[in-house]
This record gives sequence, C-alpha cells and structure tokens, in this order.
Amino acid sequence: MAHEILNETGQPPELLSALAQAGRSGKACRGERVQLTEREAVSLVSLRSLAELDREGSTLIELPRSAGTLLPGNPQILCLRPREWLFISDSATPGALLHHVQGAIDPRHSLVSNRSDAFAVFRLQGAGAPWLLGKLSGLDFLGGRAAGSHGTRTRMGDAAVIVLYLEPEDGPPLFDLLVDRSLAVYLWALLEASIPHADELVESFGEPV
Amino acid sequence: MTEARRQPARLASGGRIDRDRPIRFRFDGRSYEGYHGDSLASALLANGIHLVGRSFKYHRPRGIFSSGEEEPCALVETGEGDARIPNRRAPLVPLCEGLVARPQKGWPSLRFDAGRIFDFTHRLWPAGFYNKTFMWPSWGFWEGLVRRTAGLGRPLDGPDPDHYEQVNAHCDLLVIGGGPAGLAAALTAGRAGLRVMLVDQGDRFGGILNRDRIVLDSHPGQRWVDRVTDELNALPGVMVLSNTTAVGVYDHLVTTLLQTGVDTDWRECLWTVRPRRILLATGAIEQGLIFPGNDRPGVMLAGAVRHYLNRWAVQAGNRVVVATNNDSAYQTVFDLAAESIEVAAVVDTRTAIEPELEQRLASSGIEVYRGARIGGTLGGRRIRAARVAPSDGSRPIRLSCDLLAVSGGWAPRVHLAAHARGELRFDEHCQAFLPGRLPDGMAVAGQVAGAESTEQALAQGRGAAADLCRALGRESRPPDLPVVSADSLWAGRTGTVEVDTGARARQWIDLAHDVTLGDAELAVQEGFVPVEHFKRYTTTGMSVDQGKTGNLNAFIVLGALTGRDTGAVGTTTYRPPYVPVTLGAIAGRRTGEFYAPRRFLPAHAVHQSLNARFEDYGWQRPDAYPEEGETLEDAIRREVLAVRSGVGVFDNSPIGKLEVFGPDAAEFLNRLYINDVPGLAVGRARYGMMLNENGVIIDDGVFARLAEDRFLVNTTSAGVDRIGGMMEEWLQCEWPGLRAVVDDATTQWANFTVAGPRARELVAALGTDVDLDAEALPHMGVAVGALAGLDARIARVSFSGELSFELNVPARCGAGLLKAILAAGEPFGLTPYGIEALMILRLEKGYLHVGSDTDGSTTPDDVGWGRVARRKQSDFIGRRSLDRVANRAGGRNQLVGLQALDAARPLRAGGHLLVGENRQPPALTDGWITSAAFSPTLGRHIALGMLKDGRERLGSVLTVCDEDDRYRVKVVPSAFHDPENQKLGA
Repeated sequence: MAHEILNETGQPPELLSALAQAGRSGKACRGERVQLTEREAVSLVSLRSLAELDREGSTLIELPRSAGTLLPGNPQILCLRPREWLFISDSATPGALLHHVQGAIDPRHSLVSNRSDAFAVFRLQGAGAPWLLGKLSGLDFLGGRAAGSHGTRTRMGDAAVIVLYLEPEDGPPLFDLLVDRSLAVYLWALLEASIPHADELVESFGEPV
Repeated sequence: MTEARRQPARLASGGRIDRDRPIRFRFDGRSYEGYHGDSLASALLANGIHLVGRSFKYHRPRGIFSSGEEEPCALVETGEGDARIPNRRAPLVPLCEGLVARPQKGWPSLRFDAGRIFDFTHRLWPAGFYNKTFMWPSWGFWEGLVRRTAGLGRPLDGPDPDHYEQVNAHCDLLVIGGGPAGLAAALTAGRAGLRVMLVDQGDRFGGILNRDRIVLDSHPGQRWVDRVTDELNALPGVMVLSNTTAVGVYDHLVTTLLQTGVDTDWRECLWTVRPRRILLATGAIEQGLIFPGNDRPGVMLAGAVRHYLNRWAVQAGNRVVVATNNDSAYQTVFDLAAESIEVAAVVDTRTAIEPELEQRLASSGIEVYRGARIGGTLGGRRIRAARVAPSDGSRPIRLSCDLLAVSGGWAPRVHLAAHARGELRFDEHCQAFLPGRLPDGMAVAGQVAGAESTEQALAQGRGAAADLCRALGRESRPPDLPVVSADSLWAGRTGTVEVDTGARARQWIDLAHDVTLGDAELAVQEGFVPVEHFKRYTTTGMSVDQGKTGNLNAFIVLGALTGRDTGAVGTTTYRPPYVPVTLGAIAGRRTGEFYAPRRFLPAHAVHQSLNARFEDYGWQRPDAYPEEGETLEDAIRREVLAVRSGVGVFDNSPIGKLEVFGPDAAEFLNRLYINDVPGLAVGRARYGMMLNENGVIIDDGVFARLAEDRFLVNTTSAGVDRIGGMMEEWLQCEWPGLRAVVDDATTQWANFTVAGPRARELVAALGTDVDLDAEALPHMGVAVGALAGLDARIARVSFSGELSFELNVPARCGAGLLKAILAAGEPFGLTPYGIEALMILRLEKGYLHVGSDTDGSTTPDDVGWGRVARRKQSDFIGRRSLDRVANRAGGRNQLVGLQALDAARPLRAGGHLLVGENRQPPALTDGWITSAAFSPTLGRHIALGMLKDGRERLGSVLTVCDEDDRYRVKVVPSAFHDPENQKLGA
C-alpha cells in the first residue's frame, strides 16, 4: 500500500494557499519596516529516524545533529530534535523532495513523510521583523543576526511555530515561520495586527545589533 | 465647558513645563488650565485644589500627599463612558488636552460627603470590624453594602476600548531607575558594548535631578541628563525607555516592565525582559510621620513639595511648616525660602542637627523646634494650623499654616530585590530596610544601596556597572563622572519615628486604607503580632499603593507596640506587581479574535459557500448547514434523515492522525491498546481503546495497518496532542528499547466521510480504481487508489452506523475533493452534514463518545468492552488495574440506552437516574444521562446513560431527576439503530 500521497499535478493554484483555503484573501501585508508574505509552494519533508540510523544506518546526505541547526542549501535541513529533521525546499516539488530524502536515507530505520500540506509558511523580512517576532515570542530575535542561520521552535500567541533564522548576505533580517496549516489564519492575523507596533519599536529603538 | 480658571499657585517662572502650550482639563465638573508637562496632580495644585478625594473607609477629606507612584490619597477616575479608567494616581496622570478627571468617592459631592458618617462613628469600625460584626444573618448579606461603601473605583461596564501591546526583550544588563546612579551605570555598560536596557517610571530621566536643584559640571543637572540620554540613544544595543515601571522580578531575573503609552494608539505595553544581569538604581521613597491628624489635605511629603516647586513651578502652600526626622526636608525649607515662600517653622524630632544647617536656618530667620513633634493639626478640607509639642513637655504651640511638609525618612525601593528573594536588613543609620544578600546577577546602586550624596550615587552606578561588565566578560571604559558643583541635602542620619500612643486623636499609619495607630494597637492586643498577621488584620499596605508610604512606619509601630527593634519585626513579603497592572496589559492581544486560536479546515471556504453554521470545537467546524428559512433543529433533522436514507458528506479532517513507524510499532501499540494489534492484517483497521494506568478509558478510535511496520492511529480530534504526548512519554521514558517513532500527521490530511446507503454509488461516481465491493473493501478495510483524479486513501470506517467511506487526501487537495464530491453527489441528493447530525447518528447507533459518555472512572467493562480486554493475552497499560476489586465489584455504572415512557418527552444530559419507585433527592444517585437528543430516525427522544448495574436493568423503568423536573424512562440496549450491524457490512 502506498504510504505517501502527493497529488502534485492539476491542482488549482489557489489551493496552495492556507489563507485562501480558510477563506481569507490577501497573501501579503506590508508595514513600514516589515513585510509579511505567505509562501505557498514550499515543500516540506519530515524525517524521523530510529536509533539504528545512528549506529548502523547509512545516509547519503549530511544531517545536522544538534537541535536548532539549520543546514543551508537546497533543501535546507533543520534538526528539530535528536533524530528528527525537516527538509525544506522552495524549488523541488514535494514528490521530488520526498524521493530525494528517501533515496538518501536507509529506509529500514527511518520514517520519511511528506508534510508539505501540514504547514503554512510565512516569510518576514525587514528591520522590524525581529521586533515583530520578539513581540510574540520569548526568544531573542534581536540578537539573531549575529547568531547565524538556525531554526527553533517557539510559541506565538497560542500557536506552535518553527522559526527559521535566515542569514541574508546583506539586506534586512529575514525569517521564515512554519505553522500548523489549520492555524495559518490565526497566526497571520496576529502578525498583521502586531506589525504597527513592531514598526514603532524600530522607530524608537533602531535596528537590531 | 465653563471658562478655565487661572493658576493661582503657579510661580511666575521656572519649572520644566511649556508655558506656551496651555492645556484645559476638567476635574470634579469644573474646568481648569495647566501646561504641557504637568501631571494632573501638579496642575490641580497649581490651581489651588487640595481636596481631591475621600478616604477609603472613613470618607475623610484627602489631598495630594506625594508626587509619584507612592501616592496613597489622590486616586481619581479619568475618561468618560467606556473609556473610564478608575484608580489612577493623580501624580502619574499626564495632563493632556481635554482630560476629564473626577474623584472616586464623595456623595452627593466631594466637598460634602454623606459617607463621613463613618468618620463620626469611627469607634464602631475599627480594624477587622467585619470579622466581628455582620455575622447575622450572614457576611454575604452585608458584603455588598460594605464593599459599595468602602470600595475604590468602578470597573467598566462594557469592553475596554483601549488596546494593549506586549513585547519580549533580552539584554545583557537591565538598569532599573534613570537617576544619577542608573544613568552612570547605563553609560558605563553601553560604552562597553553590552546590550543595555535603561528604564525609568518617569517621563524624564534624572530621578533626583528632576526634583532637586543639583548642579553638575556647573550646570543644572538636567543638562548632564540630556547629554547622557542622547549618547545612550545613539549607542547600538542600548534601549532607553521612559514612562516604564519595572513591576516584577521573577526566577532567573525575568523582569516585567509596564510602559505607559504617550501619544501612542496603545495604552500600555507589558515588556517581558530576560536580562543576564540587573542593576537596581531605584532610589527611595520618602515616608510620612505619625501624628494626630496627619491625613488632612495640605499634609504633604517634603520631597513632594520640593518636586512640585522645582519641576512644575507650583507653590503648594503660602505658609509652610516643615516636620522631619532627617536632613532632606531642610532642602525643602531652603528651596521654598529661595522662592520667598514663607516657612513658619521647622519641627525636627532630633535633638541635634548639623551646625551648618542650624546656621543656614538662623540666617533665614526660620525657627527650629528641636526634639519636638507635631502634636496635632487643625482644619477641615485643608490644614489651617499645626500644633507643635515641644520636647520639654511644655504647652503646645499653635502654628497657622496651609501646608505641612513632612519627612519621616527614606525607604529604599527594595521591592524588586525582594521579589527575586533577595534579603533585606534594617539599617539603623537611615532607619530603613536596605538590600542585604541580593539574588544572583543583581546589584544595587544609588539611594537604594544607601548612597548619601549625588557624587556617591554616581560613583556607585559606574562602579556596579563596571563590575557587571567584568562578570560578563567585557572590559569597560568607565565614563568620567560630572563634578557635583552643588548637591541637595540627602537624608543623613535619620531619627527614629516616635509613636505617641497616648494621643486621643487618630494617627494614620496607612493613608490609603485608613489604618490608624489605634488599629495597630487593637491588632497587637488581639495577638496579631507576627508582621504578616498584623498586616492582614489591619490591612495596612494592602491598598492601591501597597503601603509605599506607610509600610515602614507600620513596622516601626509594630516594633514599638511589642517592644522589638524594627529589624526584628522584619517586613511583609513584597510580591509583584510593584504598581497596579491593568488586566488589559496582562492580556495584551489575547482578546477578541486572539483570545484563543481558531483552527480552520482545509475546505473552510467551501463550507462557507455551503452556508455552514460554524462552531468552535477546537476547530471551526460546521455544526449544520441550515437552508434558507430553516431552523437549526430542522436542519439537523434533515441532515440525519438524509444520511439514513440517502447519502451525506461530513468533513472529518480534524480527526487525530498519528503515524507510528518502526519494527516494533505493532508491539508498541499493542501495549497501548486493549485490543490485539500484531494480529491486524495490512490494509485492515480496528476500533480500539486506550486506558491510563488506572484502567480508565482515555481515548478511542480506529487504528489501521498501512504496512508491517507502519500504522495510522486515529484519535479523537481534541485528544491528538494529549495522546501523541502520552505515546512519546511511554516511548522515551518507559520503553526506550522499542524501535518505533510517532509522527503527528493530523493537518497533513483532509478527511471526508461519505455515509449512507448510497455512499458506495457516490464514491464510485467520483471515479476510482479501487474496488469498492464489500468483499474487496469490507468494513474496516483500507485501500489506496485514484479518486476524482486524485490519489487518495479510502477507509471503510463508520461513526454513523451507515455504510461509510472515509476519503483522505493531502490537505491542499481538500477543498478540491470536497467540491468534486458535492458535484458528483448532486444526482444522489447528497447532503452535507455537520457535527450536530453526526452526534445524533452515533447516539442512535449507541457509539461511545469519550468525554461525554465516559468520565475519569469509566473502564472498558463499564461500556461493554470488558470481554475484549479480558481476552487479550498480552499486557497493556491499565490492564492490572482492571483486576482491582473496585473495578470488578458489582454496582459499577454501565452504559445503557434510555428512552422516555412519553415519546415526546425531551431528555437532557445531566439528569440523574434513580432506581425504584417514589425515590426523590437527596437519595444517592444511581447514574446519570450522558448524551441525549431527539432521534429523527426513531421519531422520539433517546439517550445514553451510565447506570448502576445498568446491563442487569434492561427493561426496567427509572425516575429521572433533572433539577425540579421528574419523569420516567425505560432502560434499553444502547444501540437504538441497526443493532445487528447489517448496514455496516453492506
């Protein structure tokens, strides 16, 4: 029995948007110093491994081993916790990403699952982005620029969110937020409502150091 | 609005106010004028208004006592309608155009308050009077009256129209207090490259430099403040927040700050800061003196008199008497004299004062009474004279005055150190509690650390910051400190606060809660000697100000009354918040649409187009799809009948979906379920139950075997996080040797249930390569194949009791599949049905709903699944508990069906079941109705219930007690519909 069902062809494009599915129009919101957009076509694959993968299994791709480490590239690989990873790609289809991971990891010791439908992905960009995240989560986003690319799990409001700290070569701070697809509208509205104050905070206290 | 009055008590020049920006405001129904930069308190004083409120308990006239957050008397309400804000301390209310303020007490008017009757009869209302009186008929009978009479402020009638923000922040060093010590510290740390936050509760930094005429580097101190704050604002990584009060310090130095919005569209912002180190430079609060009549309007802290004079150019009185036990009040004398304001006399409780002071006073011609105290005051709505009791016991001297400036010493603001469990020690020199052992990572500087001059405060701030920088691995380049060209007088050696227990007139310890020396004596007399008991009996320190000007004196009084040193008395426990925090600030954005997260179905928009009526069941789910002109009840009945007779579609996407993988996945699940798992074939599903260690049902659902080493576990939609967490816990903590992983796939999939006699026809009409025949895909069978042009997982699972297919596709295809089902279903009269119809369908079928039909004691046997559990050979969680005597004994509640003898009689969940004739409450209950509804299929009301020995009582008749209602029901099998399961196997 096939485990993974992808349905990559023939989908109306509007169905890729978690916001549109929930009846909310608009996939971008712009403050003075922060932009929020929904990224619709991001492919996500989850890898859960058994202990045997560490001991005797083989992998053809390098896996980051400490929680929170985000390996840049395409796909990006985020270690969420010991023996749990998330592969993220905005160019590969879910099927291609799934096959890529399945082909690289010993299947006897790992559960590789398509999770492209489980999450909504929002991108935050701009000097106000760290402030916006700092308003909603207790983590230190203002020190993020010096901390390099990494990812972490946190809560914003009552939503569990995975935050990817992306390190642009130059330009303003950049973050991707992964949230349970069913909570996309909630988090979006929370972020949108908080943007004016984040703008105000940048105005008052400047950009992060 | 009447024409605003002029400001008779405003000096012609001076003060840091903008005289070019007059502001009109109203207080107690009258119009006044102030200036930009005023507080409400300074503007009222400038207008000669001293009577601003009535006291909490006795309704005595009260005026403005202080100039800061410690204000115990001047509580006002501002705003109108829904924008009213009660319990605001007038010194902290910034004056703004159109401000409307009013006193909180006083009926029919502030000037004449009928509640004053409590003052005249005060002997009837000592501390704790309500514990001794009002016992009949009950305290509850009187409580409302007492609260109405004594309460403070009125809550809003409607929703709060303001909005509030919250921010989290991290820093290396949090400096609390922007006076000389705090500024020097922030500058030192900021220049060393640390991430620094500097916060001050005032609208201006400088602390004492705002109040006193201190000269730094030959210029007014404020110039140095401006220069330092400019540099701090320019330093990267340094944040400077004014109008921000640190309200609590918690474990690991987590600190909450309350920022008041100024010219912002939010009212308050609550900051949660996680600093690596904290420096407290919070200064000190001046204390009052205890003497008869010390609560009259016009009795004011000496430092506040100076503050109003220097900062706002307000002359709080024309003829002033100053009473003190320390040097700092002499600065008030000199500042008043410098403005040619008459100082009638200085009354110092100390017998000796510094010769220099004596000399300066002598040259000013101001008389000093040494070793004397205030023996009483005269006046009504404002003080008009003070009586001085000389040290030699001679006849009291009456001094006419309209302002009595008092200083009982300075109590360092140690509250935040105490929040974090720092220890305090009593210092004899300053007669106050100073920080002792500090929490790790916290330091103090300035007056809170016992500094006695501006120079010392600056040096302490710089030194403490340098130490903290070193501790954080940074070398600092300490800034040059300004030269203090002219300092103000600091407290110096403080005399003891004398307590005159012989005076007849009342002496107030806590102005805010109307606690008197007599109350303290009564508390001690009744044995409330430990300081915490004393506080609770007298209620001292329990009002809006939390005793900031009264606590220290209360401890001193308690010591004096019990023959102990103040240090031995100790302090009460200081707890957050340091100042009142609005509930709005605590809630932040968690109101309205953000009160709780709303979860949306993958096909939410499609349901909207079907006119679904949504309810929050953890997710926004359609509870029904009423058609035009149809009631909800009618819609539900129509939907139920459609499923029973034709075909319906239900969005079941929220159902919990946990994937369990690994060579030991079957063994793992076998230990969780009461059912046999290893024997389940690939492509088959089974209904199962999970128990906790006590053998109690915690969840149920279908689990399917997708491969030898891969299972899909369905949980209740509300239970997926709980069950997923439980699985992880058992796997990680108890059975780490099992080779299995659990992955939550709930939102990856959209799930639609097509149910009804024509369900197979409809699924076939969608177009599928899966053989839907009952033999190829039987009840509890699972298959994967094409469906409506999509790939899908199809399962024969039913919660309605009808032929049913669960169609699963990735969530992004959910809306598309639902549209396809609706289109294909048109020829079949397809009816979308909601949660309400589903719950009736399952009730008719007698299917269990965990949480509704079960509680924290229900075992499998209670719901008819005991045989399955007993038959299982291997162990599972809860098994041992099923053999406990209590679980095996008779008399347990068991699941049964119920129907009223009168078919039209509605049944309600919660009604109690009584076995036997003529039994009435308060008889012990024999069970209760757990689920009830009208069955459109049967045309009568039906119910499920838990009944004592229920299975033995099939066919018997019971009495239902539902509040005052009584009716009879018959016990029947729980499956009302298709008890032979013929439809499921169709």
